[in-house]
Amino acid sequence: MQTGLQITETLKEVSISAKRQKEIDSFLHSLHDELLKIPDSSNEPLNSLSWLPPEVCLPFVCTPLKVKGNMQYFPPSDIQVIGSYQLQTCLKEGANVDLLLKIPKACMQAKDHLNQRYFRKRAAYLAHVGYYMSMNNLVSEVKFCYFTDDTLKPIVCITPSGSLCKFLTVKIHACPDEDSIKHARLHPLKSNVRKTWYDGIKCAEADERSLAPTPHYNSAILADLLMDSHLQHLHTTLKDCHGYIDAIKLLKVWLRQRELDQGYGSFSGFLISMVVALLSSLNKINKAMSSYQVVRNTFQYLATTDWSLKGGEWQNCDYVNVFHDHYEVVFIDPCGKLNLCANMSTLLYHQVRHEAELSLKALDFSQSGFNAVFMQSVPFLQKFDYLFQISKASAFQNACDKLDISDRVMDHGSNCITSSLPSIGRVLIKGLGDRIHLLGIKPHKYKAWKINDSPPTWKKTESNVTFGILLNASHAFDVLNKGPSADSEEAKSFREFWGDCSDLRRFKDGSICEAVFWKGEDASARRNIPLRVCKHILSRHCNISPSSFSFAATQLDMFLSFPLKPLKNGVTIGYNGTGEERSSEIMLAYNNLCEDLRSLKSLPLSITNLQGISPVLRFTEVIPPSCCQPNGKNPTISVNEEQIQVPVPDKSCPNFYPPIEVLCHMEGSGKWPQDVDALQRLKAAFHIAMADELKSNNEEIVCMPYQTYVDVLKDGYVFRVCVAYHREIGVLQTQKNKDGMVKIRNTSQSLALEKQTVYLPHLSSTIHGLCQKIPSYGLTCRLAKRWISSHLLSRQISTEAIELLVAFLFTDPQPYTVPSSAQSGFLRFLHLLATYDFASNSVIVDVNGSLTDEEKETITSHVSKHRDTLPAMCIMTPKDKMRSLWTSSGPSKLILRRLKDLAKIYQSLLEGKLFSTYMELKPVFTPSMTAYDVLIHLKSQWLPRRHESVSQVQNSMSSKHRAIADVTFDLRILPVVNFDPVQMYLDELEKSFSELAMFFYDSYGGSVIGVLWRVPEFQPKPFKISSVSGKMLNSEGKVVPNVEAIIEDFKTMGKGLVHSLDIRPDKWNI
Amino acid sequence: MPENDKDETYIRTCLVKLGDVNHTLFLKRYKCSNEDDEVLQQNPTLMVLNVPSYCEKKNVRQWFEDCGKILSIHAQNKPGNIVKPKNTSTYFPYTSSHGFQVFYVTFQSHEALSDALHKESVEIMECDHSNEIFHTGITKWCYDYVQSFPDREKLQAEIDRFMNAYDTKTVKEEEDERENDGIPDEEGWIKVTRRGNNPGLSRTELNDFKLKQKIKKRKKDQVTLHSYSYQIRESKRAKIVELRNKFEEDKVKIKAMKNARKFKPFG
Repeated sequence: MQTGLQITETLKEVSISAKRQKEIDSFLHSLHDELLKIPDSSNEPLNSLSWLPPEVCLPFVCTPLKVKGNMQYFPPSDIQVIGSYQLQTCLKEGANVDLLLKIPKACMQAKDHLNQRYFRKRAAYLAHVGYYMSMNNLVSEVKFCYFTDDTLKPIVCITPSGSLCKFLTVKIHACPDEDSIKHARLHPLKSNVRKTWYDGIKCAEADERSLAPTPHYNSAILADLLMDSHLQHLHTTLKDCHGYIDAIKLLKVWLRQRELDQGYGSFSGFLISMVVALLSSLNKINKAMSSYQVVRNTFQYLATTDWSLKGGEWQNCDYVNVFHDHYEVVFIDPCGKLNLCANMSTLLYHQVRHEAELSLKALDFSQSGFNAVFMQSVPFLQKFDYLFQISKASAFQNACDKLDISDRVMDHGSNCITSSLPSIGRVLIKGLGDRIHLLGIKPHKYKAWKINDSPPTWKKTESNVTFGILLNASHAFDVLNKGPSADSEEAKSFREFWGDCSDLRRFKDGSICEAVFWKGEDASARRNIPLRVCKHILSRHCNISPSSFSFAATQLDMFLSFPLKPLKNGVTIGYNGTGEERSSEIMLAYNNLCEDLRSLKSLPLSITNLQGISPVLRFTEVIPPSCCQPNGKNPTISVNEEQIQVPVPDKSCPNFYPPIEVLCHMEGSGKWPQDVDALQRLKAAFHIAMADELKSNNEEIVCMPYQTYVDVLKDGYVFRVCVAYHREIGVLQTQKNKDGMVKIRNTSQSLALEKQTVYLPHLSSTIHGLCQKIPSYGLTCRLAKRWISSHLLSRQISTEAIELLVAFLFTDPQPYTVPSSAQSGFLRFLHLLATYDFASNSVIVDVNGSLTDEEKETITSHVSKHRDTLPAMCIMTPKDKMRSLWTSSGPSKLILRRLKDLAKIYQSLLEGKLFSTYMELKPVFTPSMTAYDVLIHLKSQWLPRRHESVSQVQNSMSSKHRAIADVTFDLRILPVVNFDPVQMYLDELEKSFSELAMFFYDSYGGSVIGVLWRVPEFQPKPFKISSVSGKMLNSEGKVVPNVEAIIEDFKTMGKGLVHSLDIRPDKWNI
Repeated sequence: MPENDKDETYIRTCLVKLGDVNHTLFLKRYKCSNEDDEVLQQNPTLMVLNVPSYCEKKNVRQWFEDCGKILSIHAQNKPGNIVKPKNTSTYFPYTSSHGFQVFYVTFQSHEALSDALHKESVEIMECDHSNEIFHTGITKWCYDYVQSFPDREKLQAEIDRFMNAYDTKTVKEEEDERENDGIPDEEGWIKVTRRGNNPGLSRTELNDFKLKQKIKKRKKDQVTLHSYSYQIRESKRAKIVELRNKFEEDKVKIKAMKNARKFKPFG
C-alpha cells in the first residue's frame, strides 16, 4: 500500500475545509469587534475587585487571600489569533482557535510579577471579558478552564452560537506586552513568591528562606510573555512549507491517539510544532522533505535524545545546567530563556520517547505500519499492564508533608499534586527497578466550569492522576529484590529506602546481601508483587496509605480461580490461586504417561510421536481439571477387570472429569491396511494392546480400552490416548472413478481427521510454545474463553479460534507492546472483537514469524477474492493459508455481529469499573438473557460443572480448605469420565432442531440454555418432503414449525435435567 | 381402485400426542424403486415422516398395530430410498447423526396401509404414562455411559475375525493379480498392475497431471529466449505497465477504504 496515498487521504480527513475556514474567519472578525467594545471598569484594589459583577466568579483560587495592587480593565491593546489555527496545523476533531488579548500597559503596575499578582490580574481581566461575552449573542456558552490544566492560568472558552457551535471552541488567552516585566527577573533561580507573604510570617529571620527560587512560577509568567514571539518563530519556520505543516498535523494525530496531549504537563501540539522547528534549525529536516520524512525524523529525534539528561536547545544556552537542576525535562525555547517543558513529568516524557521508538519501528518494519502509527488509538487503559491511581486528593497533601517540599508547594501556587508528582515518580521508579520497562502517567485534568461557579481547586480534578506500569515480564514477579552486599556503602541507603522489610540474606554464591523478600506462594500471588512494592514505597516515602489509591491490575484473575472446595460426597475440587500449578502438575503426569507409552515393547509398530491436544496441555484451559477422586455416592462396577464408577439416574450427578486427550502417532508400515473399516479395527486392536501392556507394567494404572481410544488413569488424571496413522487421511481421500483413475478428494471425514491429527497437534505445540515464552498469554486466553462462554457463546466459536485471536494480539501487538498482564490482554481482546473489520479482512496469525510479506499479500488477496465462500471470521496461519479451518463451523455472521456488540458494551463497562474490586466486575461476566426466545432452566444437581460458574467465584482465593487436599485416595478406581449431561442434551437438541433454532450455553457451569428461533425458517413454506422436521401444516396447507411440539420435545428430551422452561411468546410473532 | 391409488400418493397428516402436546406426523405411501428388495416390492409400505428422535420402533409399531399386521419396521434419518446399513458389527456400528427420523412400516395387506393412511390421530393407551415410555434424558445418558464400555475379549474377537477375513481377501486379490499378470484377456489387452515384473505407473490424477506438465514444459523450452533489443525493450515496457497497474490498483483500494471511512483516525 502506498504510504503517500494514505497520508494524503488522512490529511484530508483531519484538516478543516476551506468553507469551514471562511465561516470561522468571519466569526472571528465579528468576535474581534465585540471584544473591543467591552467597557472599561473602575480602578479597585486587587483584593476586592468589586467591579466584577456578581454573575461572575474570579477564576482563580486565591491562597493566600490577600495581595497588594490595584486592577482596572481597559480594552486590549491588540487581539491576535495565535496557535494552531493561525499556523494552519489545526485538527478538525475538537478544533479550537486561540485568541490572545494583549493586556494594555495601563492595567499593569510595577512588581506585578511578585506574589501571584500577575496571575490574579490576568484572571480578573479574563473574568471581565468572560462576563461581557456571556451577554453577547454571538456566543452560545462561556466557560472558564485551565490552560494546559495549570491552576495558575485560567482562560475563557467560548462556544459560538449558530452552525459553528458543535464544531469549534474559541479560547481566549490574555498576556501583557513582552517587555512589561523584565525577563531577567523570571530566571529560574529568582524568587518571585515571598515566603513572608505566602505563609504570613513577618519575622525577619525568615528572610533567608523566603528567597527560595520559584522556577515553576517564573516559567509560567515567562511562557505568557513569550507566547507571541514563539508564534512568530513558528510562523517563519512553517511559512509556505507544506511538508512541515502536514507533518505537524500527523504528529498531532499521533499524540492524540496516544492521549499524550491531554492533562497537566502534556506533550501538546505546540510542543511538537516547536520540536519540528528545532529540527529545522538544526538542519535535521529541510523544506524539501515530504511530511512522511519529517515525521520519521521527528520520531527519530524523540527516540534518540533524552531531554531529562541533555535538554533540547536551539543554541548553546549558558545556564542549561540551572534548568536541569530545577526541571525534570528541559526543552529550551528559541530565545534561550524559557523551559518549554517546565510542567512535564519525566514519566510522561519517557512515554513519548517510548511511543516514538515503537512508531519508528512500526513504520520501518511492518506493512501495516501506517495504520498502527496514525489510525489506531492507543488508550492509556489498554496500553499498560497494571494501572493504579491516587484517588484521594488528601494523599497528595500527606505526600507533600512527608516529602518536606513546602517551597515547591509555594512555587506551584499551593497545588500539592503538581508539586509532589516528580518525587512520587522518582521513588516509584527506584522501587520498581527492573520489574518494569516503563512507568507511564496519565496526568490529571480539570473540567471547564461555568463563569458563575467558583474555580475548581487542585483537590477537585476531573480525572485522577493515573499511573501505568509496563511490566518487564522476565523480572516483574521476582520474589526477591537483591541489594548490595552487607558491608558495602550502598547497603545503608538500600536499607533506608526499603525500611524494615529489607533483611540480610545469604545467597547461593556465598555472598551476604541486603535483600527484600516478597512472599508469593503461587503464580497468582506473585503477580501481585509489583503492586505490593508500589504500596510499600508510597506509604513509606510519601505517607500515602494504601486505602487512598486504587488498582486495576489483577482483579480479573479472580474469574480464573476455582477455590478448593470439599463436597458432600467426600470429594475436593478446585485449586489454589489461578491454577497454573495445577496445569504444571497435569503436564508432569502427561510426561510420565508419555514415558510409559514410549517404553511399551509388545506393540508391533513403534510410536513415532505423542502429542497432547487438550487445551490444558498448552495452558489455555479455563478451569484445569481437578485430581480424580472416587466419590462415595456413585456405585462402582467391574468391567474388563477394572473398577469403574458409573452415574445413576436417581443419585446426584458425579463430578466432572474431562479426559486429557493425547494423540499417539504410529510408525508407517506396509502392513497397514488401505481400507477404512480395517484401519478402524486395527486402531482398536492397538488400544487394547496398549491397555494390556500398560496394566501389566504398572498395577497402579487404570486402563480402559474403547474402539476409538483408550482411557488411562495416571497420577490422578484421566488421559484419553488415541492412535493415529498419518496415511489414514489419504485412505479417506482416495476415490476411484469408473475408468480406474484414482482421485484425491477431500471428504468431510478426511477433513475432520486431518484437522484432528495434523492441524490440531501443530496448533497445540505452537500455542504451547507461545505460552512458555509469554506467561500472560495463557491467562489472557483463559479470560477470553471464559468471557465468551459466560455470554453463552461457547458452542458458537471454537476454543482454537479464540486461542488464535489472542495469539494475534500477542504476536502482532502494534501499536502496543506485547501485553504482560491478563488485564491489558483481555481489554485489547475485547477491543479487537469490537473494532476489527472481519468482513473484509482476515486475521493472519503468524506466531513464529515464518510468513513473508508476499505470502501475507497472497493471503489477503485470496481472502478478498473468495470472501463469500470463506467463513465469516477468517483466521489464517502459516499452516492454513487458504481455508480458515478453525472458524469454518462458526461463528456465523449473526453470531459475529452479536460478539461485536457484546464486546463493545462490555469493554466500556469494564473500563468504567476497572479500578473497583472484582466483585463489581462480575457484571462483565454476567450474560444478558433478554435476547432469547426460550430459556431452558436446568436442575443444578445434574450440572456437574456448577461449581465452576462465575456466580460461584468466592470472596477471596480462600486458603481455608488448603489442608484437606492431602488425604490419599484409592486411585485404582476409574471415576465417571467426561459425563456432562448438558452437553449431551445440547448435542441431541442440535441434531433435531439446528435448522429451526440456535442454542446458547455457558459450558462453565451455566444453569440456563438460551434458545433463539431462526426467524426466516418460520415463514410458511410449501410442503417439501425433505424439510418437515418439527413442523406441521397450517390452515393454508403450508408447513410451519410446530412450536408447541418443539417445546414439548425440549422437555421430553431433557427429562430429569430440565427444571423449567421460560417461554417468551411476546418476543416472536409467528 | 384407481381413486384410492391416487389418494395413497398424497401426503396425509396424523396427530400423535407425545408428552402433553400433539405432534404432526406426515404419512405417505412408499414406493420402492430398489428392485432387489422383494419384501418391500411386494408389500405395501407406509412412510412416516417427522418422528422425534426419541421414538423407537416399538413406539411406532404401537401406533399402527391396530391397522393390520406389520411385517417390518425400518428407521433412517432422511426420506427417500431405504438404505440398509451394510455392516452389522456390534462394536463398529454404522453410525449417523440422530435427529428427526423417517420410519418405514411394511404391512402385510393393502387394507392395512389404507387404514393407516386414513388415520387422523393416534391413540395412546391410557395405561402408558406418556412420559415414561420414552427412553430419554438423564436415564438415557446414564444408561449410554454404562453401555459405552466394550467388553475387551469380545471386541478383540470381533477385530480378529474381521482382520482375518480382510487379510484373506487382500491376499486373494493379490494372488489373482499375480496370476493374471501379463496374460491377455479375451480381447487381447494386458492389465498393467503395480506388481509383477513390469510394474506400471499407478493411474492417479497427480501422475496424470505431472505427465501433462512435462509435455507443456517441453513445448515451452522450444521457444527461444528474448535476445533482441526490441524484445528487452518490450519486456521493460511491460514491467512499467505492470507497475502502473499496481499503482492504479492501490488507488482503487484506497478509494474503497475511504468509502469504508478507514481514514478517520478518531472515529
